[in-house]
Amino acid sequence: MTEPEPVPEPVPGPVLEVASLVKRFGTFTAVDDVGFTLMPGASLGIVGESGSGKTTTARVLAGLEEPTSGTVTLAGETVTGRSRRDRLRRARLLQMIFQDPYGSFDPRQTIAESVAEPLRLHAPGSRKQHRARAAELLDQVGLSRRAGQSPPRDLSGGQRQRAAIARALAVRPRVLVLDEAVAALDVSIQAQILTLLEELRAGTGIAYVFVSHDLGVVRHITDEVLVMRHGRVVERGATEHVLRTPRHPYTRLLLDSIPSPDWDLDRVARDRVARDRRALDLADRQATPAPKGETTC
Amino acid sequence: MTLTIPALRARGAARRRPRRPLGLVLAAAFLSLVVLTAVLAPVLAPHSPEATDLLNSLAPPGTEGHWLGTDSTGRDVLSRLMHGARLSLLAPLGVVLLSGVLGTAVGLLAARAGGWVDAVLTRAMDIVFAFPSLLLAMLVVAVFGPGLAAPVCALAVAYTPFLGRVVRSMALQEGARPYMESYRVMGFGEWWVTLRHLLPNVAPVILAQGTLSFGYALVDLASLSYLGLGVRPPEADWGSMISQAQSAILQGQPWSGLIPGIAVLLTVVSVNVLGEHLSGSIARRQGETR
Repeated sequence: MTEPEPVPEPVPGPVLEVASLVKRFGTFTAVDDVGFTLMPGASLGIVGESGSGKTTTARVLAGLEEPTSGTVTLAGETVTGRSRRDRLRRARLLQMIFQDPYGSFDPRQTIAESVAEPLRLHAPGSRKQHRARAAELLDQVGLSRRAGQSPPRDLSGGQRQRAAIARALAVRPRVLVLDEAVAALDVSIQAQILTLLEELRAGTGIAYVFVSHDLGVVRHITDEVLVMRHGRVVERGATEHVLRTPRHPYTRLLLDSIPSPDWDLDRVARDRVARDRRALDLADRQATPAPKGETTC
Repeated sequence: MTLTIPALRARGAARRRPRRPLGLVLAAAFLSLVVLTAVLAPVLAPHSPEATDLLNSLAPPGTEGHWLGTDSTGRDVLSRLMHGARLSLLAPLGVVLLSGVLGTAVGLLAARAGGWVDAVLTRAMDIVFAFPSLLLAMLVVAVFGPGLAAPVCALAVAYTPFLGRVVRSMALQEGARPYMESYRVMGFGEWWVTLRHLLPNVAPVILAQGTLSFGYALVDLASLSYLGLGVRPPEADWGSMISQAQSAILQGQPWSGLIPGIAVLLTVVSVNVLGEHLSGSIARRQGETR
């Protein structure tokens, strides 16, 4: 190949910029005016209940949904369009990890074959080189050679998610979007995967967009956080700060809803009432004419 | 220790490979026999299939030199049966292959393109589906004249919706699985993902459905030959043999017609047993992996 590999050159600006992103499905607005920037090596959490628009935001970033309006800018270039060139450019800069690590693999291929698959498209070289690189990637995420030779059904959930991470890293993306990536795993396995993600971020300077409903996980892995509700960002800031001193009643409700030793169901109920009565609905009414029903996607 | 290991291994092997049902074994054995005789017909057949012997006409089965008897012009039924097997197997195979390619293409296109393409193709399949396959074949023969090519093509078109519908619904189901999206995020195009990942995962169903439609095609083609619209004499397939035996049947000599009829029946039953087994084992395997 004549073109040099897109080494992450030290761009001074953000690696991902999202501006006034809107996604409507018919009359339902799933994502409403969401915007944020992500610096290289940063980690941003997007939290909210199901139906808050966080997953749709992730899917728009990955190009699985076309935004109704708004822009997604990756490493200074606006990514739109579905032509082959656009797809490849987006894929080289941004990859995504899905919630269901089993469903993310072709059941007929071994894990190593699946990991080598994106190399066929993005990396020049022989099959032998691709196999070697796949083995290297599997090693990087802590999977044995034997696991690589297995079909996805023979691996545990944690191993599959490691494999999915290896496959996403194959194209050396600058941004990794993780959609509830550890939600389907046991708590002990979650910790291993989160540690792996931390190591990878320190080692490669990759940036994360971490979509989750689990505030504990988000606290662990992200520096900054967006709280979404009804498709809109209701609170944002440094993760520790937002989670320690939530300003928005909805964030407070999310925090109270985490089961913990001093979990107080009465307080959850009080906060829910407070949220419903005052602040939010008032804010909602000011911003838009009454939202139509709480449809979840 | 050395004693227990072979015992354990034997038990393990027995568990892994369950006994195949007797019906399946019989069906497979019968089909192999039919295919073998069809291939080796010129070597195995005791007589020429076209040699007439009017003095020896309508001999019953068991006659010396003619194990399965002779027909109304004294031709050896066994030899004709063996030679006839070639056309009786090849023509349905042609139908299955043609309709397999057509049905897979239509089903995949409908499922993956969606929108108006899906609507048009699905409606078109419904229309063909509602049209009796034999009638379609007869119309085509009326236009293009008798011979095997026209009915084979007509039946292939008539059978396309059977497979097309199955492939479409399987492709929709498989296309909704997350790995399809993960390949899209990697930058692969829709059609590449469809052909490389979706089609292989749907292929076993195509195989099973194709096996089943082989049986239907065999019967339909035999019917066409019986009606005098398929094979032209002196060439013979099983359907035309039954047709030529009609007058003999009316004279109280049913053998020369009954024997090819039994051959059609047994072959179709065997093929269907095989097809049912294939689709059954596919359903089991998919149940395991999901």
